[in-house]
Amino acid sequence: MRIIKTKAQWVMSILSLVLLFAIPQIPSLNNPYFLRLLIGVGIAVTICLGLNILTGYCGQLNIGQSAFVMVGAFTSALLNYRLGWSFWVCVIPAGLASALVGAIFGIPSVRLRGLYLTLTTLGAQIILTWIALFYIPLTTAGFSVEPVRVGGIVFNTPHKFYYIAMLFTVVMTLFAKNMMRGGVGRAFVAIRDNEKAAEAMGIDIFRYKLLAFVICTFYAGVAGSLLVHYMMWAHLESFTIQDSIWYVVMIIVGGLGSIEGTIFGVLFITALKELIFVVGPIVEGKLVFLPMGAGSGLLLVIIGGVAITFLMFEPRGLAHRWTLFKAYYRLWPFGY
Amino acid sequence: MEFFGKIVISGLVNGAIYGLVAIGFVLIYKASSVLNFSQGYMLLLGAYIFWVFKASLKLDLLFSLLITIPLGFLMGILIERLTLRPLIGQPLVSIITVTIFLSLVIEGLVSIIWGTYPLQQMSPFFRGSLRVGKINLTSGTLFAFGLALGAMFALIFLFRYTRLGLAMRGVAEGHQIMQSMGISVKRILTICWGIAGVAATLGGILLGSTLGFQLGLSYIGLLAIPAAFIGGLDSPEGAIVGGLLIGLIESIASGYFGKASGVPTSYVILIVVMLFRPYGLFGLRGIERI
Amino acid sequence: MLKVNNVEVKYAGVILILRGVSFEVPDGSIIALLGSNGAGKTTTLKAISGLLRTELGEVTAGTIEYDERRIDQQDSEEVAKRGIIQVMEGRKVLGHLTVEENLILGGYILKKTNVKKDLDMVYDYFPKLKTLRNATSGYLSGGEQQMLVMGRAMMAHPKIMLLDEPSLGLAPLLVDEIYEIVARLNAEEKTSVIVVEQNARAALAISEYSYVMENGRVVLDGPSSKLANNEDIKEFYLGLSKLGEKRSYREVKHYKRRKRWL
Repeated sequence: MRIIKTKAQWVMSILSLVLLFAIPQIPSLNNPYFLRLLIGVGIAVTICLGLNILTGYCGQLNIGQSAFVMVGAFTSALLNYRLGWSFWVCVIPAGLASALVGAIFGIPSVRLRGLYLTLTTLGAQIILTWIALFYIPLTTAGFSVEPVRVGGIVFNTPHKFYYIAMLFTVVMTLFAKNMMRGGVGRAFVAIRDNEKAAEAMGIDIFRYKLLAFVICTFYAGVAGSLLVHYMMWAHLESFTIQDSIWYVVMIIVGGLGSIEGTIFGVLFITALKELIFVVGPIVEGKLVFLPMGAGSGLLLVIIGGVAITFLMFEPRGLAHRWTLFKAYYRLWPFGY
Repeated sequence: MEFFGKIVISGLVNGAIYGLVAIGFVLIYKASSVLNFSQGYMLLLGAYIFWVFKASLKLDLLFSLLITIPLGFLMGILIERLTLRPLIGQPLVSIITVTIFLSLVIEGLVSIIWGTYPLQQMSPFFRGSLRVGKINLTSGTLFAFGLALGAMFALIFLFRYTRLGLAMRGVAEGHQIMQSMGISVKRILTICWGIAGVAATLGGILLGSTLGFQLGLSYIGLLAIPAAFIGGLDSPEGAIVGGLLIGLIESIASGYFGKASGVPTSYVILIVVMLFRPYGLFGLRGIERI
Repeated sequence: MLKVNNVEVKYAGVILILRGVSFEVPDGSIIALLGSNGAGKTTTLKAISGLLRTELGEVTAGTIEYDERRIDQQDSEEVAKRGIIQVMEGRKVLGHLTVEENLILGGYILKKTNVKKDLDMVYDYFPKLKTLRNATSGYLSGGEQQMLVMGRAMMAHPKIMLLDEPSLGLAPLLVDEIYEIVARLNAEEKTSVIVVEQNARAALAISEYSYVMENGRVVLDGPSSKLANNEDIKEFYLGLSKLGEKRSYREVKHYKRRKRWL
């Protein structure tokens, strides 16, 4: 099953890629705020791609993803800070370090099923954060990291880093899509849908689950490396359990088991969060009679309410809606 | 020695509370396979409601309890009706996500009504204390422990020895099977959520009285979870043991390794236990017949 | 009397399963619904008992009436309260509960506080269950589980029992035993029974009247003894054509014998 099947799809893909990389050139979109947002989206997409592979395709819920991002981030940061390695040299080791840790936390999958395995990921989040807190003396205050360089160009502004972020995002997305349409992806889906049947068909469950963990955390590690070299600063507060949960929410809203869904979900949730961030203080200012913090509280209620209602109408996520839309379009003007 | 004693006591008391919250968690999971991520926030809401009656309106303890507990039941039922009922039959992940969003909504609600700063300190429930050897047990501590333990045993009794409890265990086995016997699964689920609401509220009240009434109370959810898992997600009795165990572990770890190590150590122990007992200490093994 | 009138059932609004099924169940009788896989027999039972709703199914046309009152739009709880209990196929016991707990839940809707008499009645029908009363039901053998689910239905003192494929996966001797008990139940408690079966021989033996379903329609009906001698039934459901001869699969030609009801 090829990724791009028709000429029309080729055209659309190339156009959208061109558009993507051309955004910083468009005057109205060329402001730091918007670009920063998009960079965040790109990094989140990378993280969520890995997560969707483990949770959406392979069916193992992982609520500790941001801890694995942290492992990659600190590995990359430390390699840069202590050994002076540049970003390009740090990226792969960062990913591998995350993958190694991910493999360790994937080992319990030999005995644990379903929600019990999820618990180990929660444990990963908590334990890894704790280890970082105590055993990497620099992490509480944070320490500085060099920006990305290529030749003479230093990518230290949103305007410039945008290209790096998008480059990685596109490459990682293509990797993911390609991986999932092959035997590995099918094995994952088999494990998700009926583990016993998969085993009976000769799929080595443990090996593939471990592989899923490794891929997921590798993506997290690469994203972490990107993150620290973008922020040029590494500290613990960027990697909390709330973030882990947001990532899961992103792929659920976007659609489990779907690469496009990951992108949709990240975009949707990012937009939602920006709404809280921007509108919150305004609301709080207007409604002075409510106690402190009420504004953000109100927004939380609304966002949560919107999200719950959304899930009520489309529990399979945005990707499903998109599939239905495509089917409708294909059949139009016939109904079925 | 005295230090150790203090640690054990505080561990057990906290553990009893974790166990109580964990039972609510287990109840919902057992009946509907849903991991209720908002359990900690239900605890928060219940605690704040109690605070309104006791500290703000200055009603006495018994009265406040008698009002708040039914309200906790109502809270559980409302949550089930409004958010979970429409999602019956939908993929499990979506339902679990809804509980996550629910946490946001409840946190927001609490912030709107009471703000984000900790609430005014409540005066202790009782005065006086008991001396056991060299250790001083305040009446408040004893009360919390006793109430939590009592509530847990009441719930276990309900589950094991009453008709309603049997129906709840039946629902845990299969919704369609119960429907075919004419039993209203919806009603049973609603009751389960109501009970979970009561457990959370009670836990919140007790915890709030020791830790203070602030937004951080919801993080107890993070500790009740390993308690429920260690005991076994299908086992309310296990939740008691799990809760006490986690309470002890957390207390010992924070006492000897520093405050922040309590939670992580619990999780390490949790993972170790699970490697040997994949279904928790008392969890029911899946009956697999091929 | 249970009357099913021209019932049409759809799943998820788009999958048409039953295309106008009609039959009657007089009080105290045993009726058999025969047909091969996918004919719509289980769906018919679920339409009667109200379990369709749990699976995104609904009765979109026609009516089902019991004692002159419509039941096709009611929830399974209400239908069960009126005395119609379905024993689902697949021996669905409440796995982690004991045999006795399963039985007690069977009688839950009667809201009795003392179920001992009912339990004794069931144990009288199924002595095997009595010895197993505290066993975990998930670990019982197939036959024991089938007895359990039937006993569980009996606890509710049903007026009509809907039995879905009771003989599925059971040893032949056990099948006979189960059907003896069904006959006894019908004779002593006057419970009407609708038996859905692929095992045509057993179903025809026990029932008074039978209906044959195919593709969501009733294609043949009649007194069971007459149907058992019907040539079409004998060939397609009882495998009794060319008795005594060796059947060569090279000679299986469907068109050689057309079903008379098409």
